[in-house]
Amino acid sequence: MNLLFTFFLSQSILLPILIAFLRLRKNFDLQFLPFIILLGIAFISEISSFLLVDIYHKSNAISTNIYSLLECLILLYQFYLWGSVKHKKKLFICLALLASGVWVTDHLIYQHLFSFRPYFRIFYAFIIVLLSINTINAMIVQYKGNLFRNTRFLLSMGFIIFFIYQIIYEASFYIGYDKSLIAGKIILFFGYLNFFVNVIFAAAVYFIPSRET
Amino acid sequence: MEDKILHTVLFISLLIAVIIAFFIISIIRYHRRYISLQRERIRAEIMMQESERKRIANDLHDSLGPLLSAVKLNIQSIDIQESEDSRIIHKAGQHIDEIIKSLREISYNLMPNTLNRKGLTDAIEEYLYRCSSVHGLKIKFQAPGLEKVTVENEVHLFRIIQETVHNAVKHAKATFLQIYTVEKSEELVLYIKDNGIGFDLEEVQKSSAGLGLKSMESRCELIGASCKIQTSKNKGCEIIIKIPVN
Repeated sequence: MNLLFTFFLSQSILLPILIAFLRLRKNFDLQFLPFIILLGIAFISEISSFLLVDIYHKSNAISTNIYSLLECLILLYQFYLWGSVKHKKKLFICLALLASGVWVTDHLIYQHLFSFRPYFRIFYAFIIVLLSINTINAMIVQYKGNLFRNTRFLLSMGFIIFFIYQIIYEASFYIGYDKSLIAGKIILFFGYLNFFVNVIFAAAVYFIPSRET
Repeated sequence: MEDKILHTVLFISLLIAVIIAFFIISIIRYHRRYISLQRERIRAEIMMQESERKRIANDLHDSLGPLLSAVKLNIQSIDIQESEDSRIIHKAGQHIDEIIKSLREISYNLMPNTLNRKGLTDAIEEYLYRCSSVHGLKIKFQAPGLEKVTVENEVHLFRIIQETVHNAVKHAKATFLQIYTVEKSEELVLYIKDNGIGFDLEEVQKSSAGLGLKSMESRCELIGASCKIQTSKNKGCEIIIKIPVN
């Protein structure tokens, strides 16, 4: 699988963005705005990564590292808005501070901003998976409607799939794709998984309720 | 290199194990919260139903009853010359008596006064006496320890017994009913046995016909009691209710 093909797979992020753009004309529920913003940032990150690697032949570590921090903070805020850590403002602040602390320590204090480091990405992926599980379980028990048409449920499902794979992906990257055949395959498969999750996100964005409802 | 792979795999396995454990704990926590909410909802509904029954029973007994008696007195005080008129007045008086009797019956079924005034044992005895005289059912009742049941739970236990007796008469065609209790240190065990035709428990629980049973189970859950039903076709029915008393 070459770089261009991976890039095209990653551009499936345009699916939810396009749907979000069409939905923006109507009044959609603002509690999903952080996720929509995150989609835009993810798109910019993908483009910049492609430009850095394919055009300028440089490492995309810096864009990936900055994107990771933004993704983590935005998703934490998204869960805060959804109520998973609402009424627990202190927990939200603690998680945000802790994540920022880990990022600053790893990338700035130990000066790894220009290299790939798995620790922060594994750390926040783990937190997001736990928050997603909590959201899904709460909805399974409390929600009366069709869960598969519920944006929050679909997004949480997508997060669980994506971030569990991210943990495994980062571990494979840490081992080295050239050191282990399995690790290499896991890294290559990430593109397909990314595509699949983007389709789930597209469905989730499609089901975002309007502000009136 | 092998060590690096081993440590990485171990670490990732640990993270995934924590995720799975969190999933299980979280779903159990939410499920318990849901069950507790459901229980609260059922409790509120039943309590509301009971208070409404009590209000209607009181209204029937205290307002309509005396009013009808007054009507009867007034009618009887009319000076009548014609024998035909006298017969009509007498008939009207009889009808009023029947209405008063029916009103008392309805009022009693809604909420027996004895339960509030004399307690659970007397209320059950009175209810069973009425049932045996109306339906010709032979009933053996011996229930020491019922005084240990809290006042809030008395009405629920009374309703449970009312339901079982009703089922024994109406559905099971029983001719003999035995109600007794066994006192244990932490609980009071109530046994209700009949010699009726029995029923297929699973079938009744699945169908809408088992509403009475469901209501009985809800009330048992409400008072923290466990309810066990042993029955099969043509073999009577035995209900065992374990009520926590301490």
